[in-house]
Amino acid sequence: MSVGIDLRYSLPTAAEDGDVAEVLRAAILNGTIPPGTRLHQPQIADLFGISRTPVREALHKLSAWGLVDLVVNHPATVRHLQPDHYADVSVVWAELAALAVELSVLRDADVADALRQGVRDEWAMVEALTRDLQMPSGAGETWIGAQELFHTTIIEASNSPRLREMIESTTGIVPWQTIWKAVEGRPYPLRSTVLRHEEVMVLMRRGAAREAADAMRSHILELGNAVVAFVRHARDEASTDPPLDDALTRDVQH
Amino acid sequence: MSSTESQIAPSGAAAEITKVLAAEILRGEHEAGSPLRQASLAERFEVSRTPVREALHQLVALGLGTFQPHVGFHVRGISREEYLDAMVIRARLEGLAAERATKTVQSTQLAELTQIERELEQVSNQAASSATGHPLGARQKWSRANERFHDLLVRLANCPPLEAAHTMSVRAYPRDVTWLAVERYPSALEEYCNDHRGILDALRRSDPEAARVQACAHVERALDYLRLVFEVDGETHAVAPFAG
Repeated sequence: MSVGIDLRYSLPTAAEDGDVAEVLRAAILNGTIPPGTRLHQPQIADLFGISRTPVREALHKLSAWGLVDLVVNHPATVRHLQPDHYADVSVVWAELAALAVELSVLRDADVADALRQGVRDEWAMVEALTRDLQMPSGAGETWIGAQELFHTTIIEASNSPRLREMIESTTGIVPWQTIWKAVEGRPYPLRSTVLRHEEVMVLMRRGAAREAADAMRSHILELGNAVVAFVRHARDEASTDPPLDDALTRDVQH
Repeated sequence: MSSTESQIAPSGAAAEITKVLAAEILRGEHEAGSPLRQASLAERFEVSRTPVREALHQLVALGLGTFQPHVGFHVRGISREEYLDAMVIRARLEGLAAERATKTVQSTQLAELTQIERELEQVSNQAASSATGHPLGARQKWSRANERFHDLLVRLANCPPLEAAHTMSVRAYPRDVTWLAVERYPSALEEYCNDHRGILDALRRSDPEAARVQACAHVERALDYLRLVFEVDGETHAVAPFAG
């Protein structure tokens, strides 16, 4: 299985947009490029109308995100991601996010105040959900926006480009859209998320770096559990259908 | 290159060149913004341009270089803060790795780790008994064994994303830069050996909390020594104090 002609229609041409890695990442995560697919450098270069160098860089990025396997002298292969992999990712993410909290308390005295409005908006949303027993329209975007704001504010305040880069790379396989799918319409995880945000914020304001970091760690591990359950459920449902993944694996192996 | 798949993972030569250049950049031997010319590097390392190009791309990935089409590769200055930050991150990751390893480690792996620890102790003992400081080759011996010890520890956690993150944090700098501290504070080697034994002990007792604390404290000790070296060198910029 290699990148076939159909991708020419399903992938936007990103040559002008520049970021081949982002386009490929989105395509892998939404299943347009299924697990087991071999990504040949020349084909990708042709597809996007670019030279090999940026393609090679993009494949290195995908590899750092854990999305493809790289073997010398072979095309990159899109990985089969197991639920356990998401569990492992969330453990590492939790550790890095906890460190970001600790550093930001030390390095930016105003960080907790910067978090306040976002947490307020998130509360309003969760309360609307509890009141109306249905998701308000655009809830996904609002929720994802609130998560991004909360977490990037802390990461920026930690003032460590390396840490930011590592969190980005570790969380490459779990974009907020995926996490949203895992918690969507479920009042309990939505409520516990905003409660955790509040807890982290309050502890940060008190300057309790260690405690705030512990709260953040628990928060990410909880989100991770939700994602693992979601992925497991999705896989179990898929396994009652014809095993598409297995067919692809066979194709790659033989 | 046109008909076959070009190499993706760096070849042995490229990896070696990357390491050497990274060490030089971090020691400040290349000025920030100075060009990294493929032709002269190929000549210097006595290889073709292909591994050199690969190594330069690696340097860019490590955040130590920049690349622009038609302009080429240049040295990107790395600050001491960035360097120390990478070690702060590494301390946490190794703590996490050691904690998880207490649940997954097998006896053969533990034996391997013990063996490496003995090698490290040997270097330390030889250094201690030598009147003229560290014998020749000690740095290399120590650095290699030390890298093996830490990489194996991380591998024992059996957690691919953790390994990837650790690689990212340690690739940011050559680990033998920590030897700078050993040269100035010779007793550091003995302390490092004690730390390694403490980590091993926690693994043997399957004590996740102790393993985490010991592994984290060990890297933080190296970090503290480096801060001291940078400060004494008078080249440090204000590094925020870190609650370890």
